[in-house]
Amino acid sequence: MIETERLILRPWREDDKPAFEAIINTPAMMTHFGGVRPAADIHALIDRQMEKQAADGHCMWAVETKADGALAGICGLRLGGHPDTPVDGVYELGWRIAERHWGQGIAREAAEASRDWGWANTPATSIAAWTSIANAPSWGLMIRLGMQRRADLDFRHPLYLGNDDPEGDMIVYAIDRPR
Amino acid sequence: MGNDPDVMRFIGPPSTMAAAEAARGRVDAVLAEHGYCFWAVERKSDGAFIGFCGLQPGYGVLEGQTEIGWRLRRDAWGQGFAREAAQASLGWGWANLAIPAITAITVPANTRSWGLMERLGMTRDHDADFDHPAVPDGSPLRRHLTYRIARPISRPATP
Repeated sequence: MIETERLILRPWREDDKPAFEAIINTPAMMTHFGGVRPAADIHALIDRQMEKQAADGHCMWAVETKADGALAGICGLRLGGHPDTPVDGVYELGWRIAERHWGQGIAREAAEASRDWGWANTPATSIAAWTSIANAPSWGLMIRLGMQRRADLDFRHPLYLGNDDPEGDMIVYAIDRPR
Repeated sequence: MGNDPDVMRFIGPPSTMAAAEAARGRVDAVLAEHGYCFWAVERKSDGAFIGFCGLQPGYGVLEGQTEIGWRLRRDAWGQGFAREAAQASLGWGWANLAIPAITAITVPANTRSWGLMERLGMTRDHDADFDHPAVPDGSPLRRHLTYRIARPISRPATP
């Protein structure tokens, strides 16, 4: 578990699924993730994080606001990247924070804590993040996290191989472990 | 331009000639060091100076980023000059600088400014609002918004 000034990042529980689906599966939240999905797809995302937690000791965790104990989103480190892409096997920093918390620096607080947890608790030599070019708040935060653009690692997201939707073009940022 | 209260409404107090000369000195220094700056904008039809627009290396909260900015004389507003100049500045940046993205900042009340940012295809980074350190505490001009645009991707057509 990670505790920050306003947040707790912790492994997922089965009973998080309905609350997570409620905050994540909205048109605004899903703009860059293919639009609103069947609830089962969102639940499956949690299943995958629980598997990663069991296998690697970390994942993209549940983010809770300390003030009310409510689920605020997802943020953390996922090991693996995507096979057959330049980010195969990397440590990925990712986040999605509920709309009601946008503009409060919650994503930054959670992402900085996750990044620093990675330096302290994994052998990662670098941590990467990616998003679509249209998601400026996402790559804007990558910049503010100290990440550098890594065009050499850009890739086509595996979920978009059958079409030419620009949302499937991932731009990659990464940061090296501080010396 | 710098002493027109309309032009300076969202920037700060109208500037004196001395302040304008100091600003000119800063722009010249940026140009000398980096080869680009907030350029002077001239109207081709009559050669008149109508304002500035261009790129500069960000400093302070924009350290490490490239900033686009513009300011036009009051009598040059409403004719698409800012958009024309800003569009050209973005294009110049992608063509001549190895930068992944360009940032712009303005205050919430300056709807013309962030309206143009949106028409340029820039997107608000809602988590990157900040208090401008050069603006006094309590001023309505202190809070700033951040807009960003990424270098367009050129991808070979999929077979």
